[in-house]
Amino acid sequence: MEPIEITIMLLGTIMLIISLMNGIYLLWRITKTRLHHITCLSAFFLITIIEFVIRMAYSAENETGIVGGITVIYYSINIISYLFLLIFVKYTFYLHRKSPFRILITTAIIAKIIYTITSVMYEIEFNLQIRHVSKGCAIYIIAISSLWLAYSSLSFYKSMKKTEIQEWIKKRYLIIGISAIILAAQAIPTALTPYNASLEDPFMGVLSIIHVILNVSFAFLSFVAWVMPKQIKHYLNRSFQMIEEKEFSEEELLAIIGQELSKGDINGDN
Amino acid sequence: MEIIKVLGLFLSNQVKISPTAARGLIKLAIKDEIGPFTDFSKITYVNLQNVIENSLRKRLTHFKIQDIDTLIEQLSEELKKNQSLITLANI
Repeated sequence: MEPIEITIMLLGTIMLIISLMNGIYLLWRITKTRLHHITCLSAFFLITIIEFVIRMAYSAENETGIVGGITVIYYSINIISYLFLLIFVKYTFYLHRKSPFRILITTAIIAKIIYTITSVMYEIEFNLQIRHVSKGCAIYIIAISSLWLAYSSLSFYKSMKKTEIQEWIKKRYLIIGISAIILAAQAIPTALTPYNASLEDPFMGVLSIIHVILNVSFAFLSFVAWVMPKQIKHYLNRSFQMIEEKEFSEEELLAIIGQELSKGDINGDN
Repeated sequence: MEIIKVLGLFLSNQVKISPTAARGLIKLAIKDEIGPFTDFSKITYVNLQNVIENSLRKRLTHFKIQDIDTLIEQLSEELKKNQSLITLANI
């Protein structure tokens, strides 16, 4: 095995482990929070792992030169995780709100169908034009889903910057936004990958390393954002002053509101 | 819970009461709608939407706040705009 192959395999394994942790942690949080749309985000991470495993089986089949069931399964499942990401963004940021979701999901599904058909066709015919279409569809799906997540997170982060919300929550938006940009950047090595090139080709080797580094960075930043260990949470919250909420009985509270309304007094604490 | 903080701040500015009182009023409305032992960290977007439309409306009517329909509409919009906080603050 070449050093470059070992490096890619090592980084790929790290990415898989982190993605698995992200996916399982999110599934566990659904049971605690009843936020069922998180299933889509969990599915995004877990399907990425399935894609990777099937990719290995596909590579083995591909070496034999036979276009069999594994090739079809591989292209059917590959990139499908991004559709779950689109659904997650919709249900997290845009429920009952105007959004481009319908257009994005419809075009993404159409692109996914075209991607699957043209990818399998290319394996049989080796027609470069078909390969261009297949690649274009893959890049489109990766770009729209990750850039929509990046836009949604970063624009909310910007609007919330001066609000009295705990710092770790604000930073979570920022980290998710940055990680989504890294995810979108994967489209670049995907676009530049030469046809039928092996890892022995230096350009292909560099592209593969960049691709896998982007993957690991995305998985790691997602881990920091979603799992966010307590130490990181406390560190990000270090400048935030928690205000102890005064507890009032219902009668006390209603009397205070009545008084404030009659006096127009809003000098209470925050 | 951060979404209550955001909605409380908005209500406080609109009705001219302190943010503490506004948050307290929203919490009372949540208890009216969902039950007295509600865990605020488990409230969903749909729960809060119902709270604003039903029990908070009743609570505000009790205080004879003017133009409640517009206020409820604005609060619903504020909830829609900030809905991601329910997910990102609770995971």
